Amino acid sequence: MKKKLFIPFIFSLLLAVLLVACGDESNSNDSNGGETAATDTLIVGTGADPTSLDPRKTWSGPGYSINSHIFEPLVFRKIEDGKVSIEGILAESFENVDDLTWKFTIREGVTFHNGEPLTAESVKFTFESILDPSFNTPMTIWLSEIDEITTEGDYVLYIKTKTPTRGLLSSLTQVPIVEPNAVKDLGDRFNVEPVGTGPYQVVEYVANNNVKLTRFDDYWGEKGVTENIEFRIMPENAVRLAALQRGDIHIAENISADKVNTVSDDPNLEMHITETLRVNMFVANYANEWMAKQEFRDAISLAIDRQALVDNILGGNTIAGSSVSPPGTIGFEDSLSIPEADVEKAKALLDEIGYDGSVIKMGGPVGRYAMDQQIVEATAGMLEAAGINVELETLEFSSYVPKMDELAYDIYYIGVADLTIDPLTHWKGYYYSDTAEGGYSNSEVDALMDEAIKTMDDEEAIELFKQIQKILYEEKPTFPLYYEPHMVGVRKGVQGFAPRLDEYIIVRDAFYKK
Amino acid sequence: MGRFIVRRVLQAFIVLIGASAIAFVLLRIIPGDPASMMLSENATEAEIEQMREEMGLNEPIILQYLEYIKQMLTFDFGDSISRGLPSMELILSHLPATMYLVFWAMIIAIVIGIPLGLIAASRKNTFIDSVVSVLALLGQSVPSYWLGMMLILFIAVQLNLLPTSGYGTGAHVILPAFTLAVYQLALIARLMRSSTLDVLSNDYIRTAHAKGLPGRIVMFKHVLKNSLIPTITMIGLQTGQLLGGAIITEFIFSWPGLGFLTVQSIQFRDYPMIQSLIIIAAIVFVLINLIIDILYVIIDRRIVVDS
Repeated sequence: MKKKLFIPFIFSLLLAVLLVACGDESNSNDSNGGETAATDTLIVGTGADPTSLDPRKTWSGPGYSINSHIFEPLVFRKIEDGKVSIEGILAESFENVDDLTWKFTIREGVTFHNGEPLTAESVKFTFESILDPSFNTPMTIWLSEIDEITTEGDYVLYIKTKTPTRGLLSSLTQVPIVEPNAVKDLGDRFNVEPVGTGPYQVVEYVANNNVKLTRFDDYWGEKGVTENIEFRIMPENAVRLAALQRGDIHIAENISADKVNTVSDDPNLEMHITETLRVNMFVANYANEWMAKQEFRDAISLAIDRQALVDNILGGNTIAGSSVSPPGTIGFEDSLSIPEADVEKAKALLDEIGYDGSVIKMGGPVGRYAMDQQIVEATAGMLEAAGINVELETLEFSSYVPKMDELAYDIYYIGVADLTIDPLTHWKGYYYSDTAEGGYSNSEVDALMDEAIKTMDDEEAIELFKQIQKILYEEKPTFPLYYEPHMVGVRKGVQGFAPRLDEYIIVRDAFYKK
Repeated sequence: MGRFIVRRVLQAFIVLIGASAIAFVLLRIIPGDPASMMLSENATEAEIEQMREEMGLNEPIILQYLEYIKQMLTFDFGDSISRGLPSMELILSHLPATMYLVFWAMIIAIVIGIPLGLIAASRKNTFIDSVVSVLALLGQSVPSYWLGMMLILFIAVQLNLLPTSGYGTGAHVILPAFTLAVYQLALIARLMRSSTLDVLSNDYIRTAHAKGLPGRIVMFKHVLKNSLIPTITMIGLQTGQLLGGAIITEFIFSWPGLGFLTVQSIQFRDYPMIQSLIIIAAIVFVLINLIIDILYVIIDRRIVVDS
């Protein structure tokens, strides 16, 4: 009888816990942006923390997306009808004075968020600070061709390059301009309270939680539409989708391909899908005697059914790859067809060259690209079906990159984005003899690339780019599979949002109306 | 007593040096480094090598370690490579979120776990005891990853009762705290049950019953007090462990605590950040152990092993 007292004791405790819980809940629901009628804040769920808002250090997709609201570069990509070109942003105009010199006229009347005016000096400072070796930023890659930067008056800037460099404009799209005094005054704090010229300014950045932006009223151009933008950091794909379904967020980036239907079927949500400038491909490592053989690579290409990968694993949400360059970029060779898939031919070819069943080590990342692990596993299966003895390893991206760098695999998967609209930057790492990761070497390709870098005329350069693509299509130092799809889930009621070829989420023209 | 404490503090210091050395070496053994992670897919090997040189990663590991120790002695724990801010500042800004989460998780675990264990023990071999045991087993076996996702899908999305994830209001802490609490709750219930059974089999309990004390008094005054001692020890240790970062739970719920920071720093191979996180986790653990040891001595003078 006495022991029975325990039951009421437990229940009262449980009740107390529940009451506390409910109390907490009731006073928090109003602050929940998704459920109220408030339309002044647009909330975007993003997959990774930007880690620093200093755009001179940013080297990740989510970081670029956020920075695009706070900062502006001299010139930027213009995406129109699936074609990419370059337009002036903070540069009112730009011209190629001679082979080595570019002249930029800086837009007048632009102010930074702290009220300081934009001058040629701000641009010079930004570039020089990035090039300072003690600053430790990967962004030096974009500016490494620069020899000297000079200013003339407040609004004219000259950039001299070491060699004739056709890619300079492309590279400059990746370099947003910062406010020199703020950099000097704020020191470390510039990483979290940066000052730029963009249509939105930073209110608060709580690491691993969110970045809050508010409209900058003295913006020089067309002002942002929604008053506030919040980027919420939500690393887990499934949770980001759940948050979108509940209305905690309005836009969710990177919906996984197998969840696209979940979003499309939800009456409150819609999918925005585009293929991007990222080429997802396998790279052949020529250190392996078989991979170095042209016929063996031909057989691999025949064994891979690219269209099946796109249809069955990516839900048909992108297009199969033909060229090492993505469609829409300057010089994309559209006459190339998707390489044929024919297992029987592949087998015959392997027989012909006497492939002895040696192990081919294949590597792929997990969770970095859409369905990456599944794609790599399926491809391994296709190669096995053709009789190639594949040993597969898939690893979390941060463990994968170093193994890839030290060439631990005979064939490995990677997605390379051509964000600078100049293919030479990303081709250099795979097809230029001195720097090709897989060991590919072809003096003809080298000569064409050397020539293209120096060619300022677009038409001439396009011809060179096309020739290079045709050679690579035949020789197959890499196997382009498809172009990374960009899949964004959006709540109905969000207007003015469009997914971009460059995978950036830019919502300055978007707003949410319940 | 004084000598005991001094000795323990000195031991703690040695533990910290050891932890820092192991962390330092391990980090440099695992594949990858901050330079390769920073540049990832868009750079050539030469560019990565240049970055390594600039970051001082090419120095002999011993020199790097000595440099690190020298910095630590001046309480300079280094700047996070990926964030550009002092690593200690980042740890301090992520600590409150973790403490908040762990506090509520332990409250839930204690408030439910202790009574469950007591009930199970007092009704040994009954249906209720079996139910509690099965639940405790389940609670210890269910992966927090799965549990967290299910809670988000059912309670947040289907029933629309709580936010899915994130940090901010009181409502945000409920699901992650519960997810984190389930394992601890099960652990506490099981330990509580077995320690209560131990106590119940003692002669003085029989005596208490024999002299006619009501069962309730026996339970609360004699049994509970004695059976709580091992449980409290464990609660202390578990809390210390969780304060180092409830990694999976924080990651799923986008909770901006030390666990999330740890995952991210490892992905970036952010050496100074990870080293500082390990040092802090070691300090917290050592401190909690020290406090527990000192508490023992205070509670029971027989424990002073020193002669």
